[in-house]
Amino acid sequence: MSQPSAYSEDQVKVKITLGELLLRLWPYFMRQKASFTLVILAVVGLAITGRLIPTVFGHAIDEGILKNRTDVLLGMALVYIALEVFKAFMMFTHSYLFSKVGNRVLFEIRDELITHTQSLPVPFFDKNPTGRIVTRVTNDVVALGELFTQGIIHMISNFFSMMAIVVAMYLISPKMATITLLIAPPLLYIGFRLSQRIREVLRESKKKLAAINSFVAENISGMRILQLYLRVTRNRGRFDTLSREYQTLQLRQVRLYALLWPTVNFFNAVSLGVALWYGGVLTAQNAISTGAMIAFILHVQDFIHPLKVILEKYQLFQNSLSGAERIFTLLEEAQEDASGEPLGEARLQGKIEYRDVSFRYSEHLPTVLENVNLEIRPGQSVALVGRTGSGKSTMIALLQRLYDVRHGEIRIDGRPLASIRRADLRQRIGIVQQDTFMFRGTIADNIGLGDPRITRERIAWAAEQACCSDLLKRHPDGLDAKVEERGANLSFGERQLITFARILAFDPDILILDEATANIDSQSEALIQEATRHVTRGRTSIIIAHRISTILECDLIVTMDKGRIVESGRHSELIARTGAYFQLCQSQFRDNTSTITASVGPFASAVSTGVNAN
Amino acid sequence: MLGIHMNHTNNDERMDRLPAELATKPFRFYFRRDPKTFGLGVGALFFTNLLDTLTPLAMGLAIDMIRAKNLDGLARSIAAYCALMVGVAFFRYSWRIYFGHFHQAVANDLRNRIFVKLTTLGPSFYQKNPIGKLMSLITNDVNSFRMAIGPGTLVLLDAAFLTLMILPVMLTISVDWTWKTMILLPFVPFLMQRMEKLVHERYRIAQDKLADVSAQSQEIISGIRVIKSYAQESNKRAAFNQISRSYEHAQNRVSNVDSGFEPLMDFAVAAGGAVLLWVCSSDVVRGSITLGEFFMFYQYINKMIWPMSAIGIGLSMVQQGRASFDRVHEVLRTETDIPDEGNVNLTGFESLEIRGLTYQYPAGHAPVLHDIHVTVRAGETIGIVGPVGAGKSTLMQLICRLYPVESGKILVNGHSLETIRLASLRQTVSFVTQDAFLFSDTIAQNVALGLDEFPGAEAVRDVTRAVNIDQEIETLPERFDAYLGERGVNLSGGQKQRLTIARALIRKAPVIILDDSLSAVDGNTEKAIVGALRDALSSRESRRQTTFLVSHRLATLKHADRIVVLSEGRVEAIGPHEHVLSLSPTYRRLHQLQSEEKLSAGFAAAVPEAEAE
Repeated sequence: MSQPSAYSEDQVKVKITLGELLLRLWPYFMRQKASFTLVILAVVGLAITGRLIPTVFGHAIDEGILKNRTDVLLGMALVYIALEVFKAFMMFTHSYLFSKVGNRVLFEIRDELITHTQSLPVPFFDKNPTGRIVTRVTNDVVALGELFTQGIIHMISNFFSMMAIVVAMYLISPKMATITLLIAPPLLYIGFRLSQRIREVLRESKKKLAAINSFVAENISGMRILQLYLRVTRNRGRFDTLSREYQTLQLRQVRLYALLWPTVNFFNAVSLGVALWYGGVLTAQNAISTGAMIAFILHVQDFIHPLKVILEKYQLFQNSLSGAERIFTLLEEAQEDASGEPLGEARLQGKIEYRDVSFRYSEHLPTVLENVNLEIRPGQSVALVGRTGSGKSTMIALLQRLYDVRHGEIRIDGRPLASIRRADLRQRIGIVQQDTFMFRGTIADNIGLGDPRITRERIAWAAEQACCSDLLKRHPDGLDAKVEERGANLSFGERQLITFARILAFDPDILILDEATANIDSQSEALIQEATRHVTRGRTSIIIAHRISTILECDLIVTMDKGRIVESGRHSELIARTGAYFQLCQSQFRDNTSTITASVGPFASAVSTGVNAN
Repeated sequence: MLGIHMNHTNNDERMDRLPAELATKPFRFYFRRDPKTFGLGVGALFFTNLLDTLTPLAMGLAIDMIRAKNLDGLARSIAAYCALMVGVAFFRYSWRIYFGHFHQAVANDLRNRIFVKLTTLGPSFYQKNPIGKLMSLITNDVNSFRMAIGPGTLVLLDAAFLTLMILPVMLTISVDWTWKTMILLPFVPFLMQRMEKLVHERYRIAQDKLADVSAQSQEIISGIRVIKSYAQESNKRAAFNQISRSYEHAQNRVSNVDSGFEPLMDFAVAAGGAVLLWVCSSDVVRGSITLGEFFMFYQYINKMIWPMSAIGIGLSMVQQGRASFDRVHEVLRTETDIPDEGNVNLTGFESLEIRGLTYQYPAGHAPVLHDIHVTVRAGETIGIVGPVGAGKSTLMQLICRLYPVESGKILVNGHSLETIRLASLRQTVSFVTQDAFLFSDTIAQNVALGLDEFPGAEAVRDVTRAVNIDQEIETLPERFDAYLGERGVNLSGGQKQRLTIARALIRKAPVIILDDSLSAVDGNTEKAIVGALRDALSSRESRRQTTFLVSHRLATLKHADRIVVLSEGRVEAIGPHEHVLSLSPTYRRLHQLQSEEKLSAGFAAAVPEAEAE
């Protein structure tokens, strides 16, 4: 029975604001100092150029138009165009360079994520579905990247522009600037309030869209069931409701935007009116020149654009923030501890001892292993048998150091397991899982895993040893035959054989084999048996056995029940003892007891008697 | 507020039918569907533009008043300016609301049409169309069409109105200035459109690269155990970074073009301004034009840049929307291969007759079923067995009419399948498919999926008991209310299968089909469940239920009334166990194999579901 999956990943442990996020990204930016400095220079240059242009225009009016001087006008036209070219160039530079910086930062974050993720302890992957972790590395990084693509740089550069405008206005006339800007505080207040409400609605409608998406995804995957179980009409109704709810949220957004822009524009109009009036009064008093007044008006007109950009961009970064929160939560997940001594070059003999091992997965869960004592001699093959939950899987999980033993101790070649570095240990212990995982690529890639130490010859040799010859003949490109995602184009048996070849190629000192329960056709079955014999030969092997044929070939059978070892010995001995092992066999196939009792001889005779008995 | 009715969906209209006009002229179809909202939107937009065009006049006037030191006149012109701006604000608010309602309603309608269409299509459609593509239809393509018919159309209208209003004013001020300052502008829409297209192409490439990144991380994370046990971390990291880097480059190529937009637009205006300074000199100096007019003209140049870029942006939005609509249309016009056109209502089940049935999948090379003849009477339990690919599942799916019968006939109670109402057929036959698909909902709701009303907790408990899963459910914290799926309980394969059987049982349909629905539970449990099913069903109904049982395990099938052995799409033998054992070589071989495996199967049985979880 599987437990309800943990919700750990959904609990975001890191909560951040936009400012904190930028602070956190600062070290990444600093790694590209040159580009980043250029960006900052371009931003400042842009803000200043932006203000020089109206000034030039005003100057052209005062000195050219009003004084009837064509030469000044022509000169100003040249300056004007030069400034505009420069400005356009700065605009391009800051936005392009910043995107580039951003893309590099994202690359580094992805690298960090994949590196970190690979170093997390295995139980983490039991608790968190693959899809969720993949989302961290892809979608969440993309969300974080909206920071760059949606142009936080524009927000920053427009903020600078706004400041420059205020300065420019004050340079013309502090009084006029103060009076005109009186209207700014209420404008900013209303603007930001509306913008905040837009943000809330945006968040809600995103949620709703996600709900629509998962509803549709599920309905499409289960369409056949919906049709067969006459559920279609009802689900159409549910979809319609979802779609309408989404529409309502979208309309709420439309309304807020419809309020926001006219309001901002209207305020701008009022400030322009004020500027015109006051400018008129000042000009009448000859306090400022006409050109300066016009330049002032142009500055006021320009004030609105940066404000719009800031208000608009401000809510776009919510996605980035929540993406960043999830990313940093994952990055703060504790890595597997890498302490312990390296194993050195020499091969392990493969002596394994479990001494008084008791284990529970966590404090409030029941004990799964109790006082287990087991000694496995070098080169021995051991079958673990027992019902579900008897503790077999835990035995091997502990041996791989997926979990640490608290009570008792496990030793390999006399060394306590806890003193050996995990990575070293795992390299020496090869494991074949029930569900064999295949990577996309070729069969050779799946045997050698792209490890440069494994040569092509070795791969070919391993494949042959693992009885893959037939398999390779079946696939036209042999070792270079394509393997689809998760090995979808290979049969279960073929995947097993490739995994065995992988074991032989890497040649671990100890082998753990979790035998598959699935039904395979008899020919693959025979091949797998043959290959099993090859991989177990000459190395200590622990097999969670489900097939009598495998059990019969093992040197030692260990019967487990409720976390204890109840019996161990050879098949014949255990059957003769008519204890737990005998009962286990008997309960499974009552009519075959005679076969089992009879099959004390070698494996072949057991099968033939089995067939005859039927 | 503006008197808009949100709900335009006409309930009488059948959403699964495609109106002819929608197919050929989608824009016109939607404009006509709600001309009032659309028309009011256009009207408000027109007035916004009109008043907006007048504002520089008021400003120019104000400047001339300042020059003339006429403060009264200045006050009047400022008042006029403010009045115009109030009008602009009002009309701008209005068109935003009207257009918003218009295109959101269009999106809602189109989404629903697609979804309804999808619910009418059979598995052959879903085999051809991956889920990602269909999802993207409902979200991205609907949105892109909405953008085209809403903002896209709006932006084009906006551009047209503004151009038609501003140009005459400019021409009145000075024909000479107008052509000299505007000469560059016609290139803007062209350039904009080119750049939009370029960004779009590059963006698509970047998305493909992102999909590669996602696939690669998927591989690494799913294969983490292998990677760790073979210490391949740095190896895989390098492989990942290579892909990640090429995504980075693709992204840079997008930014490259993307960053060009604003400067380009900006520069086009600026050039106009510089030209104005250049060409105006003689006129202003000569005194034929006032400073106010000069300023006014400068403002109009600034106002013209938006319509020019708007044409480019609008056209590319409309183009994308059209392309999206073509994809949507592709699905909307798909005719289902299992049309629900029959009118026979079945009352109970008497017989099933399969006559000369041959079937080939649309995409297949050869028929999967050849000339099948089988007759089944009510109350029989029919076992179906055969090697992988023998056509067992296809046959079962044809009985439920998930695929159309093309050659031969299937008759239920003497009625050909096509003449029976789909709902009635599926009410009569409860089909448990191979893949144990459950919905993210509670266990109870999943079990009750096929019932119109929730039958009560007791009924749910009863059927789960019949499939031997009630005790396992009781161990869950929320028991029958436990939520399944991503964010809830994860069940093992065998548990899922048993729930899907419970889901079928609770419907009490006269016929039940179990299509290898117990493959993930061990043989003993399967036998026990099938036995329990038989008892439960026979005791409940006076007349026994008809059962089709597809299984690989002969022990389960042994007690079927008759066994159909399929091999390479043909019936090799039909009859009771002993009969087919003597007649069918396939059956004999299976029988022999499974007797050998019995020993091993016994141990497999000791570990029912994947223990590794």
